[in-house]
Amino acid sequence: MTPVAFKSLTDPEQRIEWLVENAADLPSQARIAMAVTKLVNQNSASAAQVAKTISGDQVLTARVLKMANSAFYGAPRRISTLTDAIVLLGMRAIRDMAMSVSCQDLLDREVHGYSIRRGDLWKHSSCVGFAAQQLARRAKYSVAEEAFVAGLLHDIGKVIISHRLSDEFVEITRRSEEQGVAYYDAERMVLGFDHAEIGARMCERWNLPPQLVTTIRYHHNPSAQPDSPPLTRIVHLADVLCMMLGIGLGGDGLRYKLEDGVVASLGLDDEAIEQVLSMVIEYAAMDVEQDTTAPRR
Amino acid sequence: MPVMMNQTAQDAISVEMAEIKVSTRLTDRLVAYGLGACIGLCIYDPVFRIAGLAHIVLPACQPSANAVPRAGSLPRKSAFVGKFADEAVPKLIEDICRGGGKRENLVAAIVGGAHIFSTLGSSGSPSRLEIGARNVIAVSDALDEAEVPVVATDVGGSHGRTVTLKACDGTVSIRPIGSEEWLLTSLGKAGCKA
Repeated sequence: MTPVAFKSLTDPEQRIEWLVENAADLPSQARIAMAVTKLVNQNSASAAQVAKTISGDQVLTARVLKMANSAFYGAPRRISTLTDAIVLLGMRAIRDMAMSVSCQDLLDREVHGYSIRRGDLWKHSSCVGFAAQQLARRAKYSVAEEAFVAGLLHDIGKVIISHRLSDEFVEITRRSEEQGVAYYDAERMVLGFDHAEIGARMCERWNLPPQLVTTIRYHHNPSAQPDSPPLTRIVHLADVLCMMLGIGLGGDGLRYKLEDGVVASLGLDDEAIEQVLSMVIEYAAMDVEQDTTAPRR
Repeated sequence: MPVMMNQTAQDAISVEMAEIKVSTRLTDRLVAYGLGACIGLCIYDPVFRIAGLAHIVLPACQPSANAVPRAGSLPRKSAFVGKFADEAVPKLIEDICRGGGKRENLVAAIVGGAHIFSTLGSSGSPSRLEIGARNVIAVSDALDEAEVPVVATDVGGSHGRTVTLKACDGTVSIRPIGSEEWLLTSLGKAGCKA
């Protein structure tokens, strides 16, 4: 049931503010992961500093170690400490793992209304993060890890809408089906805003960097963003590629469209896209293997 | 060795991206969930009642596709035998025949290949980024070369699909994401007529 307090509001801006005020705080693990990201990006952090920051949360530590020992990372030997993990796999890999596992609880929920099963939004988000990182490297974008985090969080607004506005979602789904439009268009018709906007506002509240906030806001329509920076186009392309592979497809299927000229504007060619697709498939398969705790379809 | 389902397998067997699975157990249902541009290729031997499903992702293997530097290693390359149409189609046929099927009995259904990039190449053929349409062509060509008749298709469009193939009678059913399931064909009956 949608809260009565929300229903009494008609102005989209007031509705957004209400949702942001009443949504959950960023999980504490994600706060630690953000701190790790900041530390590693300073380039002067030591392995010990990074390990100490992560070890502030035992569950996060255990999850990072589990991921570090997964087949995907192919470590030459069993990793039992964070310092070992950093030495063997590198600080950047550990930073990405911390961010990834810390967001899993948030994204690994059943997202009612979008016809996305439990686990699928998490799988989609992690694959978009990975795809964005790979595209960023090929596009020679200087901060590929930003692309990873932006890809990971790009659909966070879906979680918020799905969990707080169940009544409105009936109408959103009906509009999407009857008019053959993507959910984000139907969200704008019914709510006056879409999941990208509410996701961006949440990330603002969580004090995430402004470039992440704007990337999340414009990930469906990067050309609408002033100056259309490469990071937004990278996440937009990564999102569409994962949808194309069927990773996290919802009830609105493939009504998400790739904006014209995005591939060429990033200096990418068709072969690079196929390479990234090929890698995402393998990443998705590894993700399924790692995730043994969440119920699968 | 083909991936054969043993007697302890559950009824619904998920065929993930780039996987191929074959079953002779009559209670089994092979399922490829959430196909986008990917293809769920169902092949069935109606005489020996052997079902095979490949979840194909890309049209053809490129040498460079597997030679990309990456963060992680590729520990299970053999697990991705269904990734490319040009390799997956002969492999699926081979697996069914190893499981006791006969090539001359086989019939196929092609499902998936949704569109997302709507541009056409200069020749009128699908552009390289129109992966769904290229997948359909690549799978059809490979089946044609292998002389396996295609008796039913549900391809294209802009919606995701889940395809299920029943081992008992080759029934192929489709559930568009967010919609009701519907019957495409029975490869068992179609194969007997073919």
